[in-house]
Amino acid sequence: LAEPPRPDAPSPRPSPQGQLLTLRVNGQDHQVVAPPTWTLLEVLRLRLGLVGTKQGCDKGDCGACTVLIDGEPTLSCLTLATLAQGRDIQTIEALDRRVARAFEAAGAVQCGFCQPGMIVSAHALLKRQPHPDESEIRAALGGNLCRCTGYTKIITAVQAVADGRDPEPGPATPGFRVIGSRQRKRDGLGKVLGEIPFTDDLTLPGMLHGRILRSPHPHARILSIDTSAALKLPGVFAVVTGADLPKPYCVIPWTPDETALCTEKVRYVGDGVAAVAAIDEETADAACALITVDYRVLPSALDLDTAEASDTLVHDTDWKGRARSSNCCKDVKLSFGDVDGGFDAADEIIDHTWFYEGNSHAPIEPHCALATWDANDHLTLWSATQVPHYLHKTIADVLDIDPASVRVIKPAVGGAFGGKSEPFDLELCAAALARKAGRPVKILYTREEVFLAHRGRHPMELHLRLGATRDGQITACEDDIRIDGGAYHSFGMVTTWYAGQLLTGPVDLPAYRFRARRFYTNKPCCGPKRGHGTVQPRFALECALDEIAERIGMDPIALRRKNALPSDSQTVNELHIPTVGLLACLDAVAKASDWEQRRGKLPFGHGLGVACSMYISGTAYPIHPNGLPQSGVQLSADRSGRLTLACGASDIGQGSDAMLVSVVSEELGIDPDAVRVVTGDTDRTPVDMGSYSSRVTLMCGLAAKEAATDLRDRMIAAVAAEWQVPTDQIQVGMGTWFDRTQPDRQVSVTDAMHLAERAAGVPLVAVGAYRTHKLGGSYQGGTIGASPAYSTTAHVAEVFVDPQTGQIRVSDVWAAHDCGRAINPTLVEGQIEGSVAMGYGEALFETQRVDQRGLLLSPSLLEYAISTSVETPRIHAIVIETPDPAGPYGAKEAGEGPLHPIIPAIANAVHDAVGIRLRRTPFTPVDVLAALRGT
Amino acid sequence: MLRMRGFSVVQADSPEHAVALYGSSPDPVYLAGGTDLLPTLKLDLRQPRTVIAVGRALSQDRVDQAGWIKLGAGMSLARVAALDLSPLAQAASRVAAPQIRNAGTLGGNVMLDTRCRYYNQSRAWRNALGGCLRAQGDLCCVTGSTRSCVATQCSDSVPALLVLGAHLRLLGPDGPRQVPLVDLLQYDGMHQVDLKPGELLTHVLVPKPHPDAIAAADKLTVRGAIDFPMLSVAVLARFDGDLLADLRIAIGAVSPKPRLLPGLNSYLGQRLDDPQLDAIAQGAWKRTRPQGSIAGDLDWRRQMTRVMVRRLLVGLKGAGGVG
Repeated sequence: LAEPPRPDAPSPRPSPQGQLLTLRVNGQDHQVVAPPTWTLLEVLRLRLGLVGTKQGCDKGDCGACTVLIDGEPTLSCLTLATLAQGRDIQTIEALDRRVARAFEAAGAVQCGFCQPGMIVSAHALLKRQPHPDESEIRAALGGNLCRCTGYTKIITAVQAVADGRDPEPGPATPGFRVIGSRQRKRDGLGKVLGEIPFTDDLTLPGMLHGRILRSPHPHARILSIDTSAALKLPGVFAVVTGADLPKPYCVIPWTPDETALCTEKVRYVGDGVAAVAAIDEETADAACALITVDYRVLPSALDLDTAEASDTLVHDTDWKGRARSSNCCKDVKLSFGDVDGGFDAADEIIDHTWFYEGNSHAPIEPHCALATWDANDHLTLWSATQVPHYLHKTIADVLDIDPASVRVIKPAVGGAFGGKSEPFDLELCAAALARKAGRPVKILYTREEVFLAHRGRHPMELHLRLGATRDGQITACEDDIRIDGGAYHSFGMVTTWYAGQLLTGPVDLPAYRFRARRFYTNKPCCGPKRGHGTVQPRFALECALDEIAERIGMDPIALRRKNALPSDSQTVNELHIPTVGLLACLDAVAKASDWEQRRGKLPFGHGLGVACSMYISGTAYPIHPNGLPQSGVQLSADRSGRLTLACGASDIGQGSDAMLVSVVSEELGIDPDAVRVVTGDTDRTPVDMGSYSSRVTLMCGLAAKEAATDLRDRMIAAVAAEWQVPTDQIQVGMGTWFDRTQPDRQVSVTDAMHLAERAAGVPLVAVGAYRTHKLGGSYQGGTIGASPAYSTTAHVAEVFVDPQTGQIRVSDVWAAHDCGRAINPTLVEGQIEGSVAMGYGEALFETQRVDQRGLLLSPSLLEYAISTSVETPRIHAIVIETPDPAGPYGAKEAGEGPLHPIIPAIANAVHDAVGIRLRRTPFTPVDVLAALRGT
Repeated sequence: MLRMRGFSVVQADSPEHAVALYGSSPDPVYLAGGTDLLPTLKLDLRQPRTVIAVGRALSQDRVDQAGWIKLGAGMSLARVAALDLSPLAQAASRVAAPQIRNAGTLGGNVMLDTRCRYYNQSRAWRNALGGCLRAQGDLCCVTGSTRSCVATQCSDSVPALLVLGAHLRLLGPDGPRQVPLVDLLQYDGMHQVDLKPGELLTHVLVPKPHPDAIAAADKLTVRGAIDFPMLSVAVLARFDGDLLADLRIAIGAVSPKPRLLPGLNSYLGQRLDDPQLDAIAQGAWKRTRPQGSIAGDLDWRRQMTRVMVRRLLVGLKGAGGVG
């Protein structure tokens, strides 16, 4: 299609409309040439290199681009640069760092992407009102969306600045040096100040910009594609279509059913058809408009019933080329124990259908990828991804190149939540376009494209039956689940298994059977969103438990206590659960919410509800079952006393880099500041599978611990040899090691490293790994859902239901989460708070739906409502520690489990408040009023 | 990211200059704060060739003169929110988010473009839709009509200004004119304010409220910030003792045209007790027919008219110390 790359290709030309602007930015006058159509955001980022100001939503809906203009927080994306001349512009880079430091110290910086804008708003507030109260803080930050924190620690940070408090890391857990102390994330400040780049902050010489042309039809056959006019447009360098990248792929290697660009059919509105690389986004847009695609429109399946009827097939064949007769792409049926006997023994049976609406991750950072090929035909790909390793494999496979010629780098990632955990069309297209154009190519999704890429929460229809005896013994459970999968498989095979398999704790189900079926539909593809596959069935089960409790007149917490799985138990589907902190979680939330005194006794309209959950800490069964370790860590010492830790782990804001620092620091007594972390770079780090299924703390943490322990033992041996004492006489202390029989005989950690290196005669390097254990049930599929450890969570939600408007206000959520061991309590609380806020939005208003034409109804951050600081409930995170033998220092997951209970807890609280049962998310005012009329 | 293209920007120094530029420039459009226009341009909903920036040309001040409060159309919504002028200040304080209120102007909010879920979308989205009456098509996707567009006027300030009896001061090629706001609003999603070509809103004039008048405004949203209203209500009342001496209610964000409820004079001289409250709320419900051009269940939005009107009136009674 395009000419082969020419080495003398001209540099991108300045826009012909460019005009000279003088802008006063951060106290200095800057002269730049930019088109009059450019916003201040574009000039700051693209001309002045001030990339601390972020772009999240395209059009003024998120606040990430907030700067100060004449001292007032203003959206730079809605300010024409030419009109900002003569005004005083201040960006995050130049602001007094007091607020940014407080954000970092308080744990308010998770991914760090929304934070520059947030800090600018907070800065202006504190200048105007040095001692704001909580409601003033919430109001002032109302225009800055954050998807990670639930705003809790952000409010704390602003209050800390107002009070002049300087948070300390606090003490470690007794018996530890570092574990349990509130270590700051050492990349926090750099991210919020624009020093640590996110993918879209990167620019390469000669870089082109790509755009993807997308289908206007939910289902159509592609008859022809004509790209000739696009290629003739000046400034266009390359075009690719499905024919250039025909190899199918999927993150799950068993179900390769999608291609980088559509080859024969388009399967949803927004499916990629062709991609263009041009000198700028405007030209790439114009070129896309010149591509002609002839379609034959086909009938579409936009809902579960149509899909199940299978009159129209989303995929004509499967990946082995066999003709399909049904849209059902996965059907799992399993039964454990005597289910019919269990129902026979039940005095009460709850039998209802619940529906959980689909919703999306909506990270504030849109997906972005940048690809370049060097003179040796090696590809380097930077991408906002959770899974550099899988991306590495897929890109080599689809581009048909040697994997050894590919390097994938994950820069800072601005929120992901499962939405960046597989390869996407933009990564594959950027690489293919860069190869064709002979230039680096960057593709940045628009916000609409983020919603089209989706891979979010599956809509699920759940027909659940639950039986119990009069005295509150659960006897049996049965769940029949239909899953709306969207156009492709993604992780859907796993989703289908998880939907059934992971329901058997922490409330013991003595007999259980389920059937879960996933159907293709002509909609954006669903995938793994925080709490993958299990948030939906958990909603149904926890609501059913509340109903059973009501029927038999038992307190819902007492019912859960009575049926709690004990530690070291086996579920009915043969999952081994080493530790269960359910009772401690329930006790904590009951006490904190004053449950005994208030539940069932509050005035009409005001209620409390409880729910609990259990979630995996990584999967024992890896996506590629090759017998290789799931995670590797390499530690190498520098003679300055610095240690460099290399690991393929992907910090996506949750703080896995900080976790790795704490582990190494703990083992060696080394100052956390002396540990450098290199992660998410396939050229420089041992392989790790990535940030998904809540595996990182357990698996990377154990790998780091193994490497650090090895290094420590060798250093101890060297010190013991030097002092001519037995090794068990060496005591590791913070910064200094000593002889426990003679504490004044000391050696610094740095000197201990030197002794070890001298003794070995080679550089001081150690490696560690997490090797997958064989776990799980003896039946087919029994390994899916098997995890080395399981977290448990309990929430109590307090709600106010307005019986006239039907609106639900959630004032407080108490969320107790058993993470085994909090390696860093601040980060654990952050995960709990962020999970609660995300689940709160799913419960009350977030929906990803299409209309009857297959068009997304909420393709922007204005229409797709994610909660703001104003209405997000007060979240009281309570860390429970039930150390698990499987995890490092006993640690289990904290990133996903805490999302589950909030949805049923709100539903159950609504019942306590006004006596209605909500069985469909989101809980809209219309549904509330309809239910109230029905009572 | 969405990029704009195809226009140049000229800055007007005075309203007269702006109007002159409008007359002499190709495909012109006025821009004040830009918070409403720029998303429109980013979505490629309009293709002006000239953007006439009027931010510097418009007054940002409040001037009190003989029975009127004269507000410059360039006054930021943040400043409007700080005015001692209920319910306009309350309404302005609920617009979107602080950043939007800092940049957005009173004039811009009065002239806010109407919104429709089938219209305020990207070009790709609208292409997939096949266009609508307002853009690239000949059929309204909300009603199926071939004649009228029912995009919703979502301005927070307009209902408040309606109950205050505000006038607009306009400057056009033929000179200035002053018109009651209520006379300019029309039920047309594509021309919801009846301005002549090139006319620029320069001032909003509010008759000085009676010293005993009390007023309030509220909006129905999903979230506590950022959202446009799904229903917007402003009320103003005055009591003479326990008896109503003045009562005005405006309803917005249900159709292209925010309206003052008619027939309220019949309650003057009466107490505002449950029977009157119920009747007024019922009347508001009866006269409100929300359009499906924005999100939110139609019946619910209509039902909420009754609830919001009643609650606001009960609040006024409380604020007015009326038993």
